[in-house]
Amino acid sequence: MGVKNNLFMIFRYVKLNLKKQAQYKTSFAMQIVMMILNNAFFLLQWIIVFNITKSIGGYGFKEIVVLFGICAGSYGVAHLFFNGAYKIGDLIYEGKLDVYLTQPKNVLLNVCSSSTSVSAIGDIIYCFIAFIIAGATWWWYLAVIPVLIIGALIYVGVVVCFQTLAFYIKRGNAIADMISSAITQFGAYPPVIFDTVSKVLLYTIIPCGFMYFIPMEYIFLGFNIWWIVGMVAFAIFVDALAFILFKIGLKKYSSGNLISGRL
Amino acid sequence: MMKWFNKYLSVFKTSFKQEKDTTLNIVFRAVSFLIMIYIFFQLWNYIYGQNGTSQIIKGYSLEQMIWYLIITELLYYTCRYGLIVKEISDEIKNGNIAYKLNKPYNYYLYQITSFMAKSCFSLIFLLPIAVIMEFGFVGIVPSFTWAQIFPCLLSVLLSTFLSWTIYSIIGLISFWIQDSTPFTWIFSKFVMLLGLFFPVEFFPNWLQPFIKYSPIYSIMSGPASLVANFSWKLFAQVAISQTVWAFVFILVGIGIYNLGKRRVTANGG
Repeated sequence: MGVKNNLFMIFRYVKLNLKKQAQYKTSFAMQIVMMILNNAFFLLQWIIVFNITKSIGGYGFKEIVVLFGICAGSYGVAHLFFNGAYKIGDLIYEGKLDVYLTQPKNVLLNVCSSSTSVSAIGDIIYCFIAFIIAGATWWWYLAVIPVLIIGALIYVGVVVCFQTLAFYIKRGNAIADMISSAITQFGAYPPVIFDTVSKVLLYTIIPCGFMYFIPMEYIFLGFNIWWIVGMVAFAIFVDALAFILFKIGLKKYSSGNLISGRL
Repeated sequence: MMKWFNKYLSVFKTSFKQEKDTTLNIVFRAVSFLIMIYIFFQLWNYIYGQNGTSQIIKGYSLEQMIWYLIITELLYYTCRYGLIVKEISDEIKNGNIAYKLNKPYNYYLYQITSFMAKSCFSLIFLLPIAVIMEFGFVGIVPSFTWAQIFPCLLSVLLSTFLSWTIYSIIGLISFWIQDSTPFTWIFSKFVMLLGLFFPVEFFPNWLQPFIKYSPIYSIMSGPASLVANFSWKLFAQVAISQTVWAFVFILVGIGIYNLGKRRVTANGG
């Protein structure tokens, strides 16, 4: 029942936030279209790279397109449903969490889903366009949906863990922003180029390995059930950790005594 | 003329001082800069490694390529282009620009000067990191001479200035549409693709002249090529192209601002 209620809240938030932003029709449509074009530029970069070398450790143009599609799609799902997670540090710093504390919903889930990024829709659409460009087989389109959801859950979980630093240190959110940006930076490149030290980071604090590389290597290019189980287990672990850290951190929260409302 | 110059110099000094409060943000930005350089180094090291490290690709050795990329990344990280567009866009959208219309400065030039100060402050942190990384990863470029330091630095500053003249214009588009941010994404992607990731020699022959005469060359490839492969002839070409483009965009920017400010409706309050 609780899960159903929370899912209802998340979808309701997305619907209301999109409705609110859709009142500026031109801006709404432009944000989506421009994000698709923005991502498409990435392909041109790789066309030039593959003019120089035929493949990078087994990754040709098609594989790179799929990898970046997963990367953009996960980012899109995370920012469409849980954009608020990226603002937790600011809310803590400014003492603006009060409004969420008084509502009869899970505070963290409420904060995370309270904001929606319109351009994220462009990222999700781009993921499927990338699959079309790569000539994906039919089951890839189905398989990518849970991959994007799990990837987004890992992404949001990690970001929340780091955002909770704002409970203890001034501008702790800057560290979370840095990790978030590192995830998108590393995730767009084939894993084979990274050395051992980087790979340790990519399977721990910057978990691109679990979000992008495992699905790419063990779902779309090959198959290994244990790696996939590992990816799901990591998602559960990191999200549980996010809830625990947020709950502990909340005890340190002090209100800004700001009278505000949400429309 | 001197009075006019002093006015903007004061804006520069004030903004520079204000930037001291954002030191922590710049430190985190520097870490992000390090990460990006590290990724590029791994990528190009792998590509050159596949083809033999002593190989020259399109006229660039691995050392020159890494120097090129570090300078383009430095230029990219020095200009927080999203901020200027957001600031101008927000001020136009929420009407706060009305408070600045009656001030004794040109709003467009004010924004350029203010953000140029922010860039100079960022450079204090990012430039030493860039130099240390260059020496750490690949060492010195064979053609390096001490005499090239000043012209290269001048070219980097001109490139930053040119970026602000262009991104401010993108911000001013908000006079006509609600949010000009999407234009920033597209323009910045052109800058990345045609300048940040690759030197002009990596593009097809038919495209190279178009890139060389575009402002993107003056922003990215020009100064970076200068560092990677310095010659006084190249410096003259890059400096002239940067100056001409900066002049053109300032004129265009002032024109757009004068047209746009007529659209401001003050509601009072």
